[in-house]
Amino acid sequence: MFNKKEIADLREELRRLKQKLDIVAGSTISKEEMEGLTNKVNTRLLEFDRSIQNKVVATLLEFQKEIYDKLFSSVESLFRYAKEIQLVDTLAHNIKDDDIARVKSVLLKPILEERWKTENIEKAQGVSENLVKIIEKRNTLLQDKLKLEREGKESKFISGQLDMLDTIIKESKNEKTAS
Amino acid sequence: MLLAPIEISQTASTGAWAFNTPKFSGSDLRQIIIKAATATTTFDVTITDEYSNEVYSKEGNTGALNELLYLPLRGVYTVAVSTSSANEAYTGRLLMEE
Repeated sequence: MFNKKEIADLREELRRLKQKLDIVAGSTISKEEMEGLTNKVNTRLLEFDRSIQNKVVATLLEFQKEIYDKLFSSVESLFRYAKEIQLVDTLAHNIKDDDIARVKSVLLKPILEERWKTENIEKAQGVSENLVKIIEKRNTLLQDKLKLEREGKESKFISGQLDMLDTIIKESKNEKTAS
Repeated sequence: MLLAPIEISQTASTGAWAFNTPKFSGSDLRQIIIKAATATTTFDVTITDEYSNEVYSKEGNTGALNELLYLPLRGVYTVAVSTSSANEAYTGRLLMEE
């Protein structure tokens, strides 16, 4: 709170003044001179008091601000935690594992679909853009074939197309591998 | 009680595979097991009937799906895996009670 050096300097100054007073006390000194010295001592003491008061007030204000900041920060954290705990508590009673799995699936779906459309087919398998379209067409045809089979309808014409596309895909992949 | 298994052995292409079951005149699907080659692979499973109704759906499976069911089946159904996080081999079985 106080600078040690300041206190030491002040003490030193007071000591010097006291020495002067002692010297003065032992000798003949005029009344005016004595008053002057006394006033000087009193002034320094008052300045010292004021300086102490100012420093104490400043330090206290700083400390108060720090405490308030910490208090508000703690209260804010408390409210936030309380809100989170309340939210978790509510969710814990209403959300089942299936819901979490569904959310996970919904979030992953577009990412995976995009991945299989581009990265995996083109990069991992090293096929061209045209082949990507052929693979997509093949997948659509497969879905149609499965649907027709489920419904007990004729699906041989699709099987023929599927076989053809499978051959093209296979040959293209082999070409890529060879090159 | 007569249990008839349908073995599953498929490989995912572009994150999916599907196959049609034989035609059922009246059976119950009692258990479904689908396992990906890797324990961290995620996938969705659906079973669709002849009228394109999704009679079973289990999303967000990781590594394997093993569930006891009591699902009546009649006709041809499509068992499908979609949005698989890896193009890899899948194994498993459907246990039908006839």
